[in-house]
Amino acid sequence: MKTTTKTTKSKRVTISPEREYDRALFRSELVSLFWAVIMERKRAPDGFTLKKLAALLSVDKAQVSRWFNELPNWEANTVADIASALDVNLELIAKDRKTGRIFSPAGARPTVTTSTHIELKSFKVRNHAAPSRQWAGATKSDSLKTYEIAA
Amino acid sequence: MLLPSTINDQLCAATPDAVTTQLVMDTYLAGHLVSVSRERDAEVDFKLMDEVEDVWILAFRKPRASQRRLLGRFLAKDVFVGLGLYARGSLYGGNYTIRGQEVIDEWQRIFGDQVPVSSTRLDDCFGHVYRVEGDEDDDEDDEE
Repeated sequence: MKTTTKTTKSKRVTISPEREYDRALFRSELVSLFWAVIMERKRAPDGFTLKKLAALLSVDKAQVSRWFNELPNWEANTVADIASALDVNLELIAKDRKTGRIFSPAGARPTVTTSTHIELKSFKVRNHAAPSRQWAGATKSDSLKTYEIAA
Repeated sequence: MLLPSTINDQLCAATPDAVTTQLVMDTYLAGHLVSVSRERDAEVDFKLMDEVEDVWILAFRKPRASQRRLLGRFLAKDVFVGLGLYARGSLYGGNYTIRGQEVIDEWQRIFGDQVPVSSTRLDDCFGHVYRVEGDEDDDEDDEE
């Protein structure tokens, strides 16, 4: 199994593929969340721009542009600042991967489940019902299924 | 996303690169931000081929040494059909056009007269969050 090793001031930290995946997907989620807001605002008549966002955050526009070209490892304060600059409130929940139970900062919520049905022949249909973990050493995910239709 | 079993198996293979491959796939499948361009040299997730009609390239850019490209077309909004997976190095020297044409041939073999989503309007292909490389607003910002 391939692992990533990073050297810090005092020690070497080995990051497992699972952790590397989870980190990257979480960063992707944050970036995508903010871009969804920006994308909508850019279409508005007053035309929100990255330059305006940069000005609101008092950072260089090039840095803001880089954020959305890669997957930045933002500090919590930066996340809060961007949310404020975009005038949105972030709502945090945590979902238990095994039970689906949802937790909010105010406590546990009732579980809500959804399902989809896709019929296709001879194709693998990939959904994002659950992250697939199929790299070396991991088990195959249920998110990958084969569907067939009658001819 | 729809994939023939052979391509799916290649993408799911338990290799040292599997994490980065999985991330590209899952980012798109989750509807997260993807970068899109019609420019030939743009370094983005989804790039439209200009040599053949309505064929897109999904780029697996990491690790740099073993990059791969998935060529395909959109059956419907957000339904990308990957029909050809290639090592990036094998696509130089005009092979993009050849492979692109193979994708069209494979499309016609599988879907017959089904017309792919036209690539002229990005919103017809991408229903989730995307960023256009070379976006006019951002270019305008960059000029200053």
